[in-house]
Amino acid sequence: MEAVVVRAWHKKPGEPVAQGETVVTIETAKAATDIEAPASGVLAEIRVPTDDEVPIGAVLGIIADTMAEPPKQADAPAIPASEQPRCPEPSPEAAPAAPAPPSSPLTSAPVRVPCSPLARRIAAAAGVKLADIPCPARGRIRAADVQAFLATRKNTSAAPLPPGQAGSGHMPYATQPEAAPLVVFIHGFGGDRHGWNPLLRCLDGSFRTLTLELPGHGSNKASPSAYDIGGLADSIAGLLTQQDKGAIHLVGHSLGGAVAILLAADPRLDVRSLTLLAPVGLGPEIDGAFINGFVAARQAASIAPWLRRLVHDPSLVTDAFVNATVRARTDSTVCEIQQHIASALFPDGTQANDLRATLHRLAVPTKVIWGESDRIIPVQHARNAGPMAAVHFLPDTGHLPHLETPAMVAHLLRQIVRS
Amino acid sequence: MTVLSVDERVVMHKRMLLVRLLEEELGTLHKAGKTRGPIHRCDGQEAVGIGATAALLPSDFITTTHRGHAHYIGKGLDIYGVFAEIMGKADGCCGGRAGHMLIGDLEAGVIGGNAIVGASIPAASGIALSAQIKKTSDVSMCFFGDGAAQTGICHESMNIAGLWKLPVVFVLEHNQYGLTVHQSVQSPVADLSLRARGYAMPGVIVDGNDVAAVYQAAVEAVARARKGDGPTMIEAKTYRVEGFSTSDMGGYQDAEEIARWKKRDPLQISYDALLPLIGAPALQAMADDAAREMASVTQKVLAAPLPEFELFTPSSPYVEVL
Amino acid sequence: MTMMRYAEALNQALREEMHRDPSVFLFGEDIARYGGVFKVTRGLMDEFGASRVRDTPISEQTLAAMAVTAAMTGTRPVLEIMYADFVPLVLDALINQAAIYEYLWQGVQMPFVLRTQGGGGAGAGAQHSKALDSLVAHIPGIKVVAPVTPADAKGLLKAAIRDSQPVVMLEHKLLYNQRAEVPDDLDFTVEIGKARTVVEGRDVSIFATSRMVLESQKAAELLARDGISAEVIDLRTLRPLDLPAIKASIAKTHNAVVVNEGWRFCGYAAELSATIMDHAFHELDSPVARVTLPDMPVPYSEPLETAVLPNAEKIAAAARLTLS
Repeated sequence: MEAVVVRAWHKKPGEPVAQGETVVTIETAKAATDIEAPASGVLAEIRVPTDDEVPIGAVLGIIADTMAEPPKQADAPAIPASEQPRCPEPSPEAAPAAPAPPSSPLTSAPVRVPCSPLARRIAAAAGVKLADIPCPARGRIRAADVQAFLATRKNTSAAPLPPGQAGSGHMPYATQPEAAPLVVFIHGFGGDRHGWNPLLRCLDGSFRTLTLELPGHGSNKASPSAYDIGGLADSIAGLLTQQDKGAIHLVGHSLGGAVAILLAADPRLDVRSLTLLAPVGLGPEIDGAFINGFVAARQAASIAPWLRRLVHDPSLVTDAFVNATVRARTDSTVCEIQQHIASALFPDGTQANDLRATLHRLAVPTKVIWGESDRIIPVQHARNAGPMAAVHFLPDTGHLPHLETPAMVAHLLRQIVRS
Repeated sequence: MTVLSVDERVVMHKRMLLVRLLEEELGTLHKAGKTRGPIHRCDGQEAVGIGATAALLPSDFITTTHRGHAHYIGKGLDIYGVFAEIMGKADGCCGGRAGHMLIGDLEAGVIGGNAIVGASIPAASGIALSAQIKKTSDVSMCFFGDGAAQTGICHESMNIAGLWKLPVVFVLEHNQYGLTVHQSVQSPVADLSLRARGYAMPGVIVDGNDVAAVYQAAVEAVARARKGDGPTMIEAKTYRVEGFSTSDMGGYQDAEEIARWKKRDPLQISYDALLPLIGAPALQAMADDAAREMASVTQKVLAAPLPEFELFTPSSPYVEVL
Repeated sequence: MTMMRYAEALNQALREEMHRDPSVFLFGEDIARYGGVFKVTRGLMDEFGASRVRDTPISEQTLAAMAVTAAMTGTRPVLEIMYADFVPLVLDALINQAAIYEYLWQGVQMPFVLRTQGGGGAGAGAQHSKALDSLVAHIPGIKVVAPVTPADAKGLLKAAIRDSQPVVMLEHKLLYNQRAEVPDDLDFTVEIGKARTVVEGRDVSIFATSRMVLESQKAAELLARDGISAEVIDLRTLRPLDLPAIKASIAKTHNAVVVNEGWRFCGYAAELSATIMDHAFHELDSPVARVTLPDMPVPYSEPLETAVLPNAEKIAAAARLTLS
């Protein structure tokens, strides 16, 4: 299941809002979106405070005709709230702040959600409004997105999350019944679990998925037990062993890849496969300028160039992406921890940890996936994956294969998990 | 030189009378706004088509131009079917699909009017090639104008016909004009049959307004083709007295020139030749019969129903008809 | 079955049909004594005589027009036009002649075949390397086939000769030496209007014509290494199109790549793409991707020519694009 974080309310309860006016800004998958009022009225109630995270489907707030007629629970919109990170012109029904009394005028202007014809057909057959389906980074809803959404919805209605859980960043997010394989995702340096969203959408809900956050990343504001890869791995192993997860499949990106290698070798865990996206640990080189520049950057102008270095196609780095990254870097605790991690693991633009021997000893089926245009860690490191690993080079792809070519990564992941 | 019988002269005279009446009727209907699209009349040129086709057997073939009314009638198409086709009627010999420029009838050996100038020439050579491959004695006769004589395919076709000795007769209906442009502005030579030598075929010039002269030249050429001796070019000198088409604004033909050619009207020449043979009353009776026939055909054509559209599916781009 | 080259399979088809039907005859430039510049008609003049196997003057426009009326009057001509680049010379015969008479003069038949070969990759330059498929496939009333395998070359040529409508057969200069098993049966034909599934797949359909089928097969192998299961369909007949096969494949994969060696704008690939949009829009999960020659002349020098021709890598990249 995907989640949105409320970044800012632009109106206070009781304030009048005009149709089309920005009411609330939400964020997901590294993109922020302003949500406009679908109708004029008064912001009657804020249900999700700033910085709280809720699953898709939650009502964020209520717009009523007047404050004199506070909406009753029954007037809450039947259509669940949603976030629309990139799709232009969200449908009015999709807006999170829905008009409460039925008399409240909804705009009738036709709006369009970019969507493949097949996805449109599947959604119509399932009685789902396109506007309710989160639009992925490519800006267009495909069949897999609808299917993933349907799977999420099914899961939500079967076992709704307890209210308290929604906001805790590193809680497991299972997307499938128990029988499906559990895939655990570990993000890279400076990232967080939202970075996996494009890939998760491409998985059609094929697996149960669990996105974990490294110490000092995203909403995991704890410090690691030690500032080395072992310390990071311990923290993740702790989350995984809190309750027995059974067999898991590990996916790690960059620094998360190095962590995943150690976890795969951890006898406490039952790791069935290991998928590494441009992992740290297979050679000494790393783009030190990127590390330093990224760690130091606090504003859009300084972050954007480094983000563009991450990807092959710079157009993927949208303003929303940049802004979301800037916001994530406003937390001083997080920044401090990351700075420590960077100087410990990548001193002087060098990778301090060599995990080749560990990787070569693993008996777990391993895939290494690398973008041919990676400018952060040289693609040549893939050659050091050892004779047992399957290596895949992705053309026109930089350091973020799961964002840049999510369908391909999803294919490869299905391959290894199902084999 | 073949000697024409009186009967042969009478048959050709009757056909020319009918064609002339048809052209005049079309002129009248056009002025009344009852025709559709441009119509290319052959007034004054009837002797070429009627004389040349009279030398053919029903099993032989012709290809013709956008100005083919005399050729259609000469080759044996029913005047009602031709007229109805020109008027876009369901009874037309092509059901109204073709119009006056593209009439064709495989059974009658009419492989079409052809409104791509010059295209009737390789069309005739192709039929002749077919006859040669099948070893039949069929002859193919091609009508084309002095405008078409300037096309590349005219050269290509005559070269191949001469080379392979194809059973084809090229009848150049030289009416002096390619649309509005006089032949002197289209070719360095006035007598285009000069070119026949270059294709190793005989080239003869005849008076295209004398049906007997055209007929006699055609009989010789057809016989030569049928024997396997190859093609002949007949250059029939004539004149287009009614302009390019019913849409023609005129102004480029010399009035004096038109008057001079009108005096040499092929019907008059034919009349003068028949007068000593059958007498004025018989000729008058022929004219009256033709007028009566034309009046009755006209009435029937005007009353005939228009066709109903049907999609033509054999040319669909998909294997399943959609 | 006999192992033979594509050119030999065509030769065998011509020989068998000439034996079967005395009204079949061949004409074209350099086809008789020399046996054709691609040796497709080798030995046929000696076997059938100089009347039924004719060398012609260089007069494409007239030869094509002659084929039309010869076919209408009882023979089955097979005309060889040496290069598809000369198709513009024969377009009047196809567009203004052959295409209209079946409709205008209902009942006439025009059983002629116009064989030609196109495409690049042989260093033949801008006037001898084009695939002008769209020019002929555009014409209502003309069938167009483009066999890739020797067996299809034989089967489709025999079917074309027996067909009552005009058929243009598009061969490819780089296919003549392809060797494969070819059925010996005298009555072996391949039905016009039937596509062939070359590789079955699940994720994306690649619809290709002529030599591009071979490149698409290679692309499918490249894609398979990435875990992408591509289906490759050899259309075989460009007109009339096997729409049921196209629809069935898209209903399975929901993504389509169309590949044709001709130009892109108003090209055959454009028509395929529009056809898919017309008839399978609601099955599509991504925009149809086109792989074609860029809109420019085919250059001469090897690296330049290689750069413009569609190939397996370009096809695979397009397939990946539909899945991204």
